[in-house]
Amino acid sequence: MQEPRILQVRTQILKKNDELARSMRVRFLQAGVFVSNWVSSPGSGKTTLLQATLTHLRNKGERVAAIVGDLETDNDARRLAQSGAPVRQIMTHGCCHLEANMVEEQLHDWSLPDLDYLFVENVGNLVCPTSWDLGESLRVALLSVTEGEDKPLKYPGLFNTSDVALLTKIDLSGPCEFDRDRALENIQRVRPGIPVFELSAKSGAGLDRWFQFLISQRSATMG
Amino acid sequence: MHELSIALKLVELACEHASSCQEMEVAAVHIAVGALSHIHAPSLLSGFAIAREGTLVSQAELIIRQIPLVLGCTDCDRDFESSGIQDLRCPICCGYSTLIRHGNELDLEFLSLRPRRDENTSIGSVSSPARI
Repeated sequence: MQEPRILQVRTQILKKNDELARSMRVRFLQAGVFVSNWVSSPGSGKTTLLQATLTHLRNKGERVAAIVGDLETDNDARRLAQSGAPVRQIMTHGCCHLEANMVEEQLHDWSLPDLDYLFVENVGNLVCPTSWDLGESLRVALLSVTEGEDKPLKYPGLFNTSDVALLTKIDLSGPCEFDRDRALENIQRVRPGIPVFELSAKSGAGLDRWFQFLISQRSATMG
Repeated sequence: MHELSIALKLVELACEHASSCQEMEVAAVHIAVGALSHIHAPSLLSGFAIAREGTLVSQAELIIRQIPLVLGCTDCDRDFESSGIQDLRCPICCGYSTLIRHGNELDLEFLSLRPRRDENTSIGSVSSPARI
């Protein structure tokens, strides 16, 4: 029997996405726009917190924009647009995560040098977005107290591939009997050293520290 | 499920490399999947069976080489294989100063080619984690 011939490839499977994401990252940095990719389960409070973040930054004179991913509806884009920031909605019609090319398509007639921050709100999903680099400088993982303190251990990928973790809806900690210490420990176990911010978009608790972190991250990235 | 998305990208990449093969067909697509890539191998096998239809790799099996998570502790100056992906602390000093040496892989390693033959219905297999 003829021996099979081997054709060496040695290439990352997601090479195309990763190469596009890298080129987008360079493009963003050269344009001076700080891009963050927000990942979490559906219902974690991404949109509400993003709305507060957009509003705060706009009030400080920062130029902000957002891209939102959902399977269907443009409800989130409409909500975020109330901040006055330009917002675009990606409707994936079934795809459970955003990929770099989906984000790039939304940039076509935006002047990136005219933006300071671009926020990408990913499809609500604790699993699939982990593998897809969108060209961001900061990946933000959100966990609401209503989801329980075990979530980081159950879905380590999301936290392991993120740069900062936000513990949201802390005003509901009591009714949910949320074990804060356990949650913080679990986050560190799956992603040692990750900075964590505890906040409530509803009550305003912790928001200032989060805003300061975001601003300092942009400064550090842009140099 | 994102394994199908991954499988589609894998088939696309494999076909790009297979397109130069004249009288040969792809018998197997060999990939390396690290523990931290968060890929569910059985789902990837199923996704591949769907994604490969009607393509240059329609007759190919998917062979998955699983790579365990290997961490290195910068405080202890030692590498160790981690039993799971939920705890990235050093098992010796319990510190968080660890680096990932292996486990992030999601690579198309090589294609096995053979002379063209009749339809093959086999999907593929998953090998035990390689010892590094």
